Amino acid sequence: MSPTDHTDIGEEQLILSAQIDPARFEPLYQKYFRRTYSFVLHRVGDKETAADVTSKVFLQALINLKKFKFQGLPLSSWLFRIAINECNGYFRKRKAQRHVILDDHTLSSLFEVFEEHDTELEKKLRDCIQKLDREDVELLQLRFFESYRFKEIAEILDITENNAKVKIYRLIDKLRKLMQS
Amino acid sequence: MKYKYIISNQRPVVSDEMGSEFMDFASVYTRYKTSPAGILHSVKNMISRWLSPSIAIATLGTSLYFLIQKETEVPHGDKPLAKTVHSAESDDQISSDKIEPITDDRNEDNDQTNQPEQPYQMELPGVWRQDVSSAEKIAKTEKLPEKKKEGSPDMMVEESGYFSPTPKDGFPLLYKYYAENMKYPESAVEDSISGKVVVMFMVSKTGKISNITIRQSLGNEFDAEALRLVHGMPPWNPAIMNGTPVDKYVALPITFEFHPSPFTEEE
Repeated sequence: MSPTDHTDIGEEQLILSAQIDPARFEPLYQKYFRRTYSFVLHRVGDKETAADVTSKVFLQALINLKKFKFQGLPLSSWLFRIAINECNGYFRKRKAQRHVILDDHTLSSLFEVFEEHDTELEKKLRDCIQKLDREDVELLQLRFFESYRFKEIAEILDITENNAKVKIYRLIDKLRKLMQS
Repeated sequence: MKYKYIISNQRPVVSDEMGSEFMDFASVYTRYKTSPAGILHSVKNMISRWLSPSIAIATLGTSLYFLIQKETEVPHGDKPLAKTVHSAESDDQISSDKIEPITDDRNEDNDQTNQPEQPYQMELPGVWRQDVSSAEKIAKTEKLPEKKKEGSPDMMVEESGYFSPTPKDGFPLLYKYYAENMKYPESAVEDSISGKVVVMFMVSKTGKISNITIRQSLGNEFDAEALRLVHGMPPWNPAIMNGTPVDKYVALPITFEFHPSPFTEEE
């Protein structure tokens, strides 16, 4: 699930034809299913639930496909935006707990930002994340766990690229302060 | 302490099999089909697939119907051509059949003209017949062709259209008149002014010049000279609209050019 894949020219054609006839969405479904499924699974934590939420994501995608405007970014950003909404809906409905993955990859990219590396920091981080609100955790996941570019984060969260940058720098500041206290 | 988030340090691996295990486009698509948006889409599809072609066919059909109707209505001018082949009886049938649904007074008209139609067709040369069909489209009365029948065909062709007024002796002679009679105003010699005065005047039905005005002035002396020239110019032919002379305004530029006389040059 590399976020740096390039949108091929054929994708726009596929989207356009699917907008006319939703039955033609199948190749796009096959192309993006696994990535969307993983995206949801990382947040939901359960395989069956993730499959359920993913099918809802694609249902919403089919319903709203007419509103989608191709702007050079891959369809995945748009699908992930729907996925975030569907996950939020799921958490609200089931009062379920969110999953945050703090694996080596995430930790190393966070250590790069804080310019220190020790086991103490990892422990601190775990505590600090518990104090963050939903939106901040979302940003943290997108930027440090899934390593999306600012442009893609902006597209997924439906904000401007600059706003995405500002939000992430504020989040880092917040985390730093939380860890020092 | 109850944690807000479950933090795990293992990224769940999604294998290829796991991906395809849950992949089921058909079920997503059937759910979409039964959702309000899906139903709306299929209804829209139905409309665009069936309704718009049927509207197109209906429009085509109506326009064709009216086109055919018009064709049976209009070509009185052409009908005599067919008459030479058909017998009088069969033609009567055709005309009454086709003209019946229009109006009563048309029918009467038709009956009246049925008999004189035959000779009238014989006199007509080709040029005239073309005129009639177009004239009928405009006037839609049978009186017009009858009136036209009296004139000679050559006259008809000449009369239609518009002809603007012209000098009786032609433009070259008019310009010659200007050149010969023009007096360059002496007061302007010093400034050596060159330029154009545009004079507008009306050529009446009788060819008389009146209502002379200056449209573009070049100073009082020049204007007065231009007016003098126009007053004294040779007579004009009136404008002709569809064979009858009409009043018509004409704008005429008169150019003044300063040519120094040999005398002044020597000085």
